[in-house]
Amino acid sequence: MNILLEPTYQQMLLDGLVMTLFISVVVIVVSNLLALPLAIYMQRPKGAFRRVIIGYSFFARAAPVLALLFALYYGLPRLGIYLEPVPSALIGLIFASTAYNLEFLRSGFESIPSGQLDAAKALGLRPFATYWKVMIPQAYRLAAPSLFSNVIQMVKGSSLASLVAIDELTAASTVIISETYKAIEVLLVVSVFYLVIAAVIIALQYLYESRQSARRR
Amino acid sequence: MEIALAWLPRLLVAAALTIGLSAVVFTLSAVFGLLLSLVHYGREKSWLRNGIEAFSAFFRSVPELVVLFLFFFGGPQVGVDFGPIGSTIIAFALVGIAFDYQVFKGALKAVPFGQYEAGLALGLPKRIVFLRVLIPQVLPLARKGWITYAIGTVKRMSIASAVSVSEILYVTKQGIAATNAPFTFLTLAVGLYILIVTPLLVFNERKPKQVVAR
Repeated sequence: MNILLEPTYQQMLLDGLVMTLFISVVVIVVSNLLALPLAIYMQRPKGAFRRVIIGYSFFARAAPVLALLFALYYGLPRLGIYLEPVPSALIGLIFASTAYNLEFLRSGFESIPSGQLDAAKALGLRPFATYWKVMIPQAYRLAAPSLFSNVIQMVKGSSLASLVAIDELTAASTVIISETYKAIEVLLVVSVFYLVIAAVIIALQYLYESRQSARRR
Repeated sequence: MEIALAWLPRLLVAAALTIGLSAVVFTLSAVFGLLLSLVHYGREKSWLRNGIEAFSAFFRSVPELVVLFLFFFGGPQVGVDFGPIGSTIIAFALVGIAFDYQVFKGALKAVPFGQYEAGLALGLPKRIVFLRVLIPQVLPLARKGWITYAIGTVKRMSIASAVSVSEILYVTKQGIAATNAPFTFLTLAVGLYILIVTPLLVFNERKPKQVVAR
């Protein structure tokens, strides 16, 4: 275990952890912000962009995330677009995650009894108020378990960024392994980091769900 | 276009490897996931169940790539060389078992416990109660979550390219390096993934029958 007491390696793992957290937080926040308006748009029975959104969602969920990352990493320079590795990986991860969040929210909206929309209309609520006060809180409550488990998937997905030249936690571990040949020790430490992140997310989920059920009483 | 045609045979072999590996991982995950969900069925407290929960939490929280490296790089360190394919099967099967265990556990909860007690009260051996009463009801209930995970398994197989398993994305990467035509290759690769996954998606959209006896 003494290699992990080496300050250079500690620093590498710490820097990797910071990058993993940065990528995860950006992907989680942006993909959720993008998914909500798309999910609301999909509630319209007709709309010019419905097919586009359905096609996007199918493609983003059928293609492996790694293939998307490669497309941006190897493909964009061919089109004359030179992005830094970090923004390029962020775009790929956000592209994939938004589709999943969109589907979870969409099925959340669709699980709300349609009578509620009629009731809101009968009470004279404007469309904005209907969504803000009636539909969105319920859709989130229904979709919460899926959305939270997708948050863990996004953190895990950030490890794929190590394969497109980003020095996050998993990449840091491979560098240290190639120098020290202590794979098991290094990877177990890295696993513990990921476990702690997942535990925090699960704790937040319990907090959210207990507050929700307290509010409903 | 000529590039694509020249590389198509290699990509098809890679696709066959992706399908084969996915099938092995899918089967191992489903069988062991189901068996683990039946361990100590109905007991309030069980150290064995707690152990299984810890196993499941670990392999669901750690990225597949890290688990894969653990066997690929970690194996030789303790004197066992699993090789790229062996590491891939072990790593993805363990993660798959951890997920499928949760899916089957959830489905098992939907079957009333009284059925198990009734089976035992009728004098049926435990094995028969599991095989003829519980499992036939659990499988259709679990189908949706189980197939969704299987679809993910096909896509996640692309991660094995990191340890040079020559599945679809690995050959794609080689093709890009050799010809500098990233979009041709990635379009072909994604097309192959969609072809593999679509039958599972269609199967998953079918409405399940009412299965739980009340």
